[in-house]
Amino acid sequence: MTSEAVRDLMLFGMLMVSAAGFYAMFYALGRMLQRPGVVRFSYLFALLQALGALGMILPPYLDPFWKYLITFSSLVYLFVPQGMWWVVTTFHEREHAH
Amino acid sequence: MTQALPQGKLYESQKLALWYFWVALALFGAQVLFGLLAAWQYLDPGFLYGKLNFMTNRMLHINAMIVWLLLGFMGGVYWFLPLELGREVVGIRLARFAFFTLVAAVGVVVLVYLLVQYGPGNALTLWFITEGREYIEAPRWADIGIVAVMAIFLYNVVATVIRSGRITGVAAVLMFDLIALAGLYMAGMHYTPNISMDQYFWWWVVHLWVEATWEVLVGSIMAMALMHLLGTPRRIVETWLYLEVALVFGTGILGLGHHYFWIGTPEYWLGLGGFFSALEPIPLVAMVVHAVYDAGMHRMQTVNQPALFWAIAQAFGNFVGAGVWGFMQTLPQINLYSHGTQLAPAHGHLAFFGAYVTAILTAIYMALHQVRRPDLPRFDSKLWKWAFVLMVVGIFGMSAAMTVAGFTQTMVERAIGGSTWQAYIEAQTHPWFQNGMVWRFVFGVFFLISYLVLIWDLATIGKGETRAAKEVGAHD
Repeated sequence: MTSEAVRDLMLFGMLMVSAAGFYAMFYALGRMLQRPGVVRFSYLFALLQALGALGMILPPYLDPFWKYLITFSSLVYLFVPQGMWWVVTTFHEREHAH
Repeated sequence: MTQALPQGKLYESQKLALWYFWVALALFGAQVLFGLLAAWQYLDPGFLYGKLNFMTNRMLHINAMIVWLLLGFMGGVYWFLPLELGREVVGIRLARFAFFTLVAAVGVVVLVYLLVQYGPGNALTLWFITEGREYIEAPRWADIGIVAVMAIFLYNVVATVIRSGRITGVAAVLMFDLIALAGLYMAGMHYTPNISMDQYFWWWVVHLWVEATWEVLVGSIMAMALMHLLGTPRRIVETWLYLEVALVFGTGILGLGHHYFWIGTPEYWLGLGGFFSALEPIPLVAMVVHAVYDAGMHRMQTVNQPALFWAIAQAFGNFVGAGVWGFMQTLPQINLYSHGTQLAPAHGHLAFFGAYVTAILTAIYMALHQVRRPDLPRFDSKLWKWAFVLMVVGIFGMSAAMTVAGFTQTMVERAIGGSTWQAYIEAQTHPWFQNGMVWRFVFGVFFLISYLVLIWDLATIGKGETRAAKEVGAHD
């Protein structure tokens, strides 16, 4: 592992997870405020999250096991905001209907 | 059989909770003070040398944090448990005895840390001065005391649940978690001359307390808090709690493996630890969605503004501190170079603050609302906003400075220099490292100021409020 590899993995890892958080935040905010523009803005962070993952996967730094793991995590992050939003709103609607 | 109290009256357990909160806050101050001294010693290694060495300041800084967070959690449980079960906590006299014993023991341990500091490597030192294990340096007699106090705490909770004749989901989770909490601490008292085995069990306390049992404990406290703060229905709160327990335990327990990478354990821990650690941020991202939903539904307004903001900060802080800063250095390929650098305290500062300090402050503000002015429809002040902003800026500033310093160590000392003595010196004298240490101290002072503002606000909020509840409600 070269020093460049360590640097790249750290920075792309940070980008991947922090962008996943911003994606979740802006997606939920857009849905909450019913602002499609904010939801679309959140997709920018989804893209950054995916780019962060690609930055870890594409270079030959990691073995296949770790590349699969990063790919899996990245795919999960792409759908966490939508999935969680559905879960949260469905829970609350059902509870208020009771 | 429930014993609901009229508004303004407190259960004995809640009065005890206030003692826990104030002692916790005092120790929070001690943590900040000793942290600042240690931070200054990075800049001036000769400062207090021979009198109050870096190792002692660092030990007091970290031990004060562990104890004050524990006291804060216990205060949170003693505050919310009677509300949850509708009755006084069983064994309250025993609980009071445990509180005074714990506080006296902490006082004695701190005095020994300050006045004696260290001793020869024998049983006398282990039992009466310091056990020497990083983060859990308390001497063995204090270890046993901590387990005894946790056992009393567990008895209080279990007996109250049994006596109340009802078991809620939150109470059930709390009981099982407290069993794990007390049990796991004993793993840190296991002695073996094999350093790998010693570290193996030591991490059971350090990691499994912090990333499993504490997470669930704080989840239980926040669940009870959110029902009162936001009026969130029990079914929703409990479903979330079960989900959190599943996710936190699912990823957090074997996430322990990221501490087993380099201590002489079998190689499979690289895969196991890396795999589960990489998944650990996922539930934290999910929590962000729920926090935004809750904040939006209440339009950032509730009966207790500071508690609401600290509760929201908990979800975001947990994600940033534990999720982002944790993931950044958790893969074994990176961790080989980054472990033990300033990146570790950067992650630690953000994660402990985000996950735990915020939660305890939420509970304290909720308690003060009930103690000072339960008649007010909105508990608010101007000062808490300053404390909130200054504290968040302070902790982020410190963590950013340590991140830069840690990155320098990772690159210059480890990845480029190959961990030689010369590379160590190069990293320590590198401008990025040195400036990082300066800015860590500057933001540390910033944090101290925010702490003082926070304490002033906690001491005064609600006291100067002379308006009648109806008037406040009409204007707001």
